[in-house]
Amino acid sequence: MPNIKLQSSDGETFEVDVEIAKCSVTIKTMLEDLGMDDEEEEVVPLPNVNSAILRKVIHWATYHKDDPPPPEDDENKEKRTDDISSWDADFLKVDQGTLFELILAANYLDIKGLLDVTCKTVANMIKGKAPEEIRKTFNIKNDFTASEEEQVRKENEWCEEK
Amino acid sequence: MVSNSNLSGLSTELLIKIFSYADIPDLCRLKQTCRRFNSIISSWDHIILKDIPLPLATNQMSNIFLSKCSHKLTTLEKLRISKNWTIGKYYEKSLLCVKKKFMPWLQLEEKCIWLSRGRFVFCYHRKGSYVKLKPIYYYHRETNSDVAHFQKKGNTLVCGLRDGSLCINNTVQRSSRFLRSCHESDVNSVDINTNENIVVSGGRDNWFKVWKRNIETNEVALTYENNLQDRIWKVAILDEGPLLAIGTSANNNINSIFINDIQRATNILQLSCCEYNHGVLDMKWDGPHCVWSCGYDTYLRKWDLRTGNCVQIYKDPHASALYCLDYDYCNTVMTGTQLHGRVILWDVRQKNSVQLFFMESCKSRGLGRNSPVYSLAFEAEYLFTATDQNLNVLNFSGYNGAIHDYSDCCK
Repeated sequence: MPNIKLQSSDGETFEVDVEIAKCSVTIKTMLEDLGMDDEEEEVVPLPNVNSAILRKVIHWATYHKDDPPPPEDDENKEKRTDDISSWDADFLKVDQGTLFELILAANYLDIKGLLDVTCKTVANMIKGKAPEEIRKTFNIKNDFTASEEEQVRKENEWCEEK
Repeated sequence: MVSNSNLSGLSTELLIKIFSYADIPDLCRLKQTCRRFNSIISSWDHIILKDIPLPLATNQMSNIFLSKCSHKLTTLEKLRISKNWTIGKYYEKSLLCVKKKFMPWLQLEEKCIWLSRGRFVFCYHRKGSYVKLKPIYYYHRETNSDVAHFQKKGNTLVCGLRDGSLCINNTVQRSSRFLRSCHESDVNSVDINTNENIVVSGGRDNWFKVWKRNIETNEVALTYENNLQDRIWKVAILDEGPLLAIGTSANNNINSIFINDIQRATNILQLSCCEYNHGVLDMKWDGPHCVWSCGYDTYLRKWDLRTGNCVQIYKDPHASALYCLDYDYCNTVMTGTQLHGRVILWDVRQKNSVQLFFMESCKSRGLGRNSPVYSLAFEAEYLFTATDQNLNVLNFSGYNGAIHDYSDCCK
């Protein structure tokens, strides 16, 4: 299997199986557009991903390399967040900074499977929490004035009533 | 370095993706955390919640229905207000109270409400549920007769009078054409097509008549008429084609609905529900192939003209005659009943009715407070009903309305 080299923002180079690297649509397109030969020792620069995150992404992609391609977003498909595999759940037991950097990397590299599972993980962290708890969990600044906050509370209390 | 690797630092696009995995209560709580999330969810909730079932009464799927609405609602507002319809949470106002009893008819537009009472047809300006009490009014100098029914479309107001006259008004030029003695007695129903050049009238004298109208001169000529041997209660022209549906009292005939082609001047279909006393009082087209009807037999029915069969049937839980109906051209029908100022809310996806609304002004406080709902019209946030002495406005868009839940009576 041919390998290619991926270079992180902080200059570290990772040698990866081409097929694994191609789970990133961004890299796949880049390789196709540039018509890179297997012979050439090209390095693909990834200026938006640091080495710690790139290592995680490659780890994830390697584990999932034999997965069937993820289905396109189906209009009628139920949005589920309880279908995260135990391997992915373990893999995503990371601090929040890393989780959000993985989302940014998955988005930049266009890896649908990884983006889906990381977004679901965040949605699960939101589920069932009161507004104040959500703010605390994600360190969100409450920028409403007191009267705005009262108004927005009034507008949304219907969903709390049975 | 300012890190954007936290929730607030994500782009709108990514937040939309994350939020689309959240359920409805989670979204309502997220809206309360900060201004940005509140505004993203308000602006994009049609994407975030695109997979939810269409809400009842508020879905605004049909453009005809949307054109009557005061506001285009966000998806969460649709869900909130739909819940108010379902649980009967609303504020009620009774307007235009009079001592004398009438048999009114009403029609709703985005910015006004049309109401007939006695000799007059009034046009009240409205802003949501607020009705400005100084109306523009129409009456007919040529007669003292009451208006039995009217239809307003575009710039035309067609009135059917109890003495058999017909009057066609241009509401912009305020000019009118009065046609005396078109029918022998009450003109129970009139309609006009979208091009405003075909007028139809149906009478207590068993005749229906089709008139051609010159829009410029307002000249009217009879093109086609027929006697159906039964009182005619309703005529309804299809917007998309040359079809006319006629509903009769079905006393002498087994059939209560006649479908006629007005271009060819022929009857093409007759419908019957084969039950005692199944006279039709109100009808509405649902696309070119289906018709909703309601009437004396206490059923709301949907007919498919391709098979000539009644394809959906809904029974009033209190078995009273249904006087009028309104439809959102998607999943919601409301019917007005003969007794107690009662309106029924139907979800056409369900067999049983969803909720009942009793007009406050008709609650029995002594004699004579028990009016039929003669006419009704709804938009996503408000229900307007005409009872004998009042115009009633039910506002479902508020946050603190009282709950009037009769859903137990719907089973």
